[in-house]
Amino acid sequence: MNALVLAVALFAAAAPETGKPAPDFTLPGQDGKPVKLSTLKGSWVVLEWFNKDCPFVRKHYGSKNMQGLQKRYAAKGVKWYSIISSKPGKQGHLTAKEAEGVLKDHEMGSTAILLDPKGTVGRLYQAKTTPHMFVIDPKGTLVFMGGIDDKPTADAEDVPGARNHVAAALDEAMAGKKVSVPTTRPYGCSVKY
Amino acid sequence: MKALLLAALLCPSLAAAGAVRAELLSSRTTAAPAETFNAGLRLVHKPGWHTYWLNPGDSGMATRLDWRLPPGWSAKPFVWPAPQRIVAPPLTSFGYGGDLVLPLELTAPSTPGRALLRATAEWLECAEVCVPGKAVLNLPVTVGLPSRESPDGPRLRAAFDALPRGGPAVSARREDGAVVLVIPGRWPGAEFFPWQPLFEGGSGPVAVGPGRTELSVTLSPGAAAPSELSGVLVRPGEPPVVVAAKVRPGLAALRHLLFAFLGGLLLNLMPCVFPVLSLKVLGLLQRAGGSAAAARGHAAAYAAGVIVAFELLAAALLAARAAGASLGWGFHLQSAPVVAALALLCVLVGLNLLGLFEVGTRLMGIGARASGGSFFSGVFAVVVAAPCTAPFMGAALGWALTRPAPETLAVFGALGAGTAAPFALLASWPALLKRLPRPGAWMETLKKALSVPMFLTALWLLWVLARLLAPAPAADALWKTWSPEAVTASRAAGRTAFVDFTAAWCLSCQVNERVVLSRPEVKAALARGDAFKADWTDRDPAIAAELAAHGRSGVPLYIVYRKGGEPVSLPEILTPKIVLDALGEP
Repeated sequence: MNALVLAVALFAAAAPETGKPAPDFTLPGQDGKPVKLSTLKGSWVVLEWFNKDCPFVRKHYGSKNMQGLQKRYAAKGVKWYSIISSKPGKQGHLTAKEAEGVLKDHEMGSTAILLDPKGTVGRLYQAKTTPHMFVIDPKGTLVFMGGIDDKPTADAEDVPGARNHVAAALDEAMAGKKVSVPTTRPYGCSVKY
Repeated sequence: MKALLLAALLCPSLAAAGAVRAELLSSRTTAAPAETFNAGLRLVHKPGWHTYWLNPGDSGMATRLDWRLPPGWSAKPFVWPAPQRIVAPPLTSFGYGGDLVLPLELTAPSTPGRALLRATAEWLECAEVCVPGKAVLNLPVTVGLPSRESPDGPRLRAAFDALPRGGPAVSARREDGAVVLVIPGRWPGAEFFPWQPLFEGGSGPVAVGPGRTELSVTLSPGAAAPSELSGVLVRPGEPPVVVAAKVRPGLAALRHLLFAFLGGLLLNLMPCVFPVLSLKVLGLLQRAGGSAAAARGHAAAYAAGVIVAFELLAAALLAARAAGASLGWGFHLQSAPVVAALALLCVLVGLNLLGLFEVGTRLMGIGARASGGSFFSGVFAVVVAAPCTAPFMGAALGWALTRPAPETLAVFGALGAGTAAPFALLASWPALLKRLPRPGAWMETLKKALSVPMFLTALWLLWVLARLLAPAPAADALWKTWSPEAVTASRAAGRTAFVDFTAAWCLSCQVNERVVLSRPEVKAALARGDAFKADWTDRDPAIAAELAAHGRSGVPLYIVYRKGGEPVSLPEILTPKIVLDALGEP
């Protein structure tokens, strides 16, 4: 953990930037297994900042939009991590056991829920909102960061008509094309650091 | 949601969604036919709760109001009062608390009657947690005569009176990753709220002087600076004002232009350019006594030639990159025919300096009377300077190529102006020329001496050519050939990896390799980890992609992955200490 804090301190100054290497981190999953980003080279990776009680997150889970994305891209080998940076006692914080339950109840297609109760990785990525999305290519380069789509509301009725930036970025990048919209403004609730 | 709808039905003018109570206000119980009158959406927040401004800042959602109006009615969108800053580190949002009125104007139809105006308000209410609020609101208004003010009239007038007004003239300039707003007066407590959602939430005065105050707003990651900055300015003790200004290029851009100009000046001293420039000056000396106007004409034509040639190179490179080619500065030394031609040219110029033939003299337009000759000798100076720009200014020009096209062209223009400046100055002020030694036999000696750097440049180009034609394998057992997979494997094993992005034609790369990377203690340290060499002498798209991933378009680039960790790039000029420190060696 000290090493992690040190690593975070070293790179705290460098804001994540598309086209640059995604900052490395290690976080425990809800199953207790640690996940280290740099060992995932060779795979596409999606990071999703998650707070189950945030209305904007509920918009995408209530409409099954998020689970649909998770499952569609899991089938293509994408590793999808839902990260909780809520501080203990604040909205959205989950223990490993609670997270295991949410993973099942919400029928999530995530590879794992990662627990970041100190908010170190959230701050490392300057995660502002839930949801706040990041797409990383197999070389470890950040290719997309920002809001999940272009309808910044909490209304599930806005899901069908929206341009989903994450799906677009993944489809373009996986086809070897340049990501046409690499950075967007994230929208949602503030991350409860 | 059902409960909410029920509440809306039971209490038609008022709806609550937890911490915020919403209602519609009208300044008229009876409005005159076709009268435009004040109305508004009132949001009453419980203490500690807030809703959001037009630009919500780092998180949140602007409040919305959608009218469903009977025929003949029209409603303007509401006008946003000045927001407050809501700080929850590390996030900053813009919004409102307390008893808020968002004022707007309604226009009644020309026919009298009773109407029930309906609107759906949607907002996000947040304290520590956020809850979306939605309410269907009703507003009964009669149209007829006489017009009658409602008890809410004064409240709505006060809301309109408190709206931001036109403000003072301000200016804005672009800096790296931020826009700086300059306002008149000394305002240490001033706050600026940008309309455009392009900025991070935080902003405050960065420089407070007696006559002016500067406020900086940080651009969101990936956001380009807008051409115009507008928003609400709040100064303590003053009513809020709306300000707007065109965003001008800032000091950062000027600084880059200045460095490009200085780089151009230095270029005159490079082994490939100095002889050509000297020839031009010698030609000028020989024609001493010619008219000053003609000399100025030559100076202007020469400067134009240099600048146009640099701009053409930059434009060609930009066009090639736009077309998807992975080219960086120095690309002209990645093609064997171009290197061969440049080497031949240098030999010819050298021979010419030795006086073996005079064709080159005419080629360089020294004898030519017409300013066209001077123009082409300017172009020629850039052509022979090209081999030198890659090793000495590759990194700076590589940076310039990552900027938007107008900036790139401006930087290359400044480089050209710097290159042309010494000769243009000499030619424009004959008084300066008079300070130079009188023409004489020494000129022939100098010419012969100047042939030496030309031949050296030719030799270097031939060596580059040899490397291009037969790429030598990494002779040293220490250096492995770079590939992304090899680096990934090394990092996964937790080893310290050093990657040397190099090219035969890159002089600073060669200097670093010979002077620093081949020292015994550095080699020993490198051998304890993995040392990779990525040779970009020949064009290699994988290397170009990796350079781009590190924000570069040229070599040298040195990357260290300490114990498999994050990449750290080293300076372009290495010292043993820099390398050993980066590798984590004592």
